[in-house]
Amino acid sequence: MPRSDLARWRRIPFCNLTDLYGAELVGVRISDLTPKKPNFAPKAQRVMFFYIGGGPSTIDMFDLKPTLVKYDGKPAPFEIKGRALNESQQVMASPWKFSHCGESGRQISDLLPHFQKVVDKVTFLRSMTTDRIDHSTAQFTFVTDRGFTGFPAIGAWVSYALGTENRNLPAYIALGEGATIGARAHSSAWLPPIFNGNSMRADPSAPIFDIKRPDNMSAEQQKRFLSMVSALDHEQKTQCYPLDQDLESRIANYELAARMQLEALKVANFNQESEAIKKL
Amino acid sequence: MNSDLIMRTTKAFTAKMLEETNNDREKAVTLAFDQIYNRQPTEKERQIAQNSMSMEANPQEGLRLFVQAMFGANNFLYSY
Repeated sequence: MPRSDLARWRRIPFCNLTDLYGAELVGVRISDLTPKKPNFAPKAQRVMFFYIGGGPSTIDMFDLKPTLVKYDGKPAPFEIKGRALNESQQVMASPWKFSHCGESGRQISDLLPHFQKVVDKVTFLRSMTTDRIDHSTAQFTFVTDRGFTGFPAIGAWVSYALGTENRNLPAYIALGEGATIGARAHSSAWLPPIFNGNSMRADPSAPIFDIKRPDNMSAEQQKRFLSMVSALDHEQKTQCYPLDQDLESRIANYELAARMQLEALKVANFNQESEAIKKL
Repeated sequence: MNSDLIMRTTKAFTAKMLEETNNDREKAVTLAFDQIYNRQPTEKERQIAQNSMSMEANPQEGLRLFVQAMFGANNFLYSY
């Protein structure tokens, strides 16, 4: 069986079969990025999702643990299994000083003096727990709700559900990668690859590697070049893999890449931002 | 697909294809397909190559651009 057919069958158990059947009946492409209405009227207009794998510990920033303070330097009141370094059972509290801040009185580390001033504007969600104790599994849990690889990241799901209004940039852009799980932190996994997160860097001169047209290639030549890549891809798809969604996504990505050449450089250029934004 | 490396290598590769076919551009296209994709080109692919060569003042540059497109296309980047 060709790989494209295998890939197709592999996806079906995870999809709603009624949706698949209905989509094919009316000829709708399953990997569709057109904007869609959410199921509920949204209150927020914009959401920025920062996943900082390898960032400072919440315990050292805004999640003071009184029990750790109580047992600081003493053996834990329970047995630590699995990752007890050197078989140590000793507890260590955050070494940083915390202060009560704002009207809420939230305890924030003195490492974050600016954050201490705006703490009343922040909602903390402290009810999340996990039974994963290692870096990679914890990261997978955070971005996919599963403690292992192979499932779509939250950004892929959002792109799948809502599509995008911007046709000149990928629906899902990831700044950087997961600390120990790399690009899997923004993978679409078994969702169509068009929902995969595209890596960008916070570098105005080259937000995406080789995004700029080479100096010795004219704009007209590059247009023809991209057109030829697209024509070759379509020919391969027609001749060999008419059902391959991966190939369809790659063709769409190339077409998007051409539009991105201008847009990506524009969004990565911070010169146009106000002073207030730059101070952030 | 915009890197200096791909520009340099496609230039060298195109020169090699032309050298090995005594500057017969049609045969050079066939040889390029053999070397890059390990198959013969379809009629449509031959036509795309011909169009590229006819669009450039220097047909060799048109062939180089087509070769660059071959390296950027799915057929080269992903093995099935």
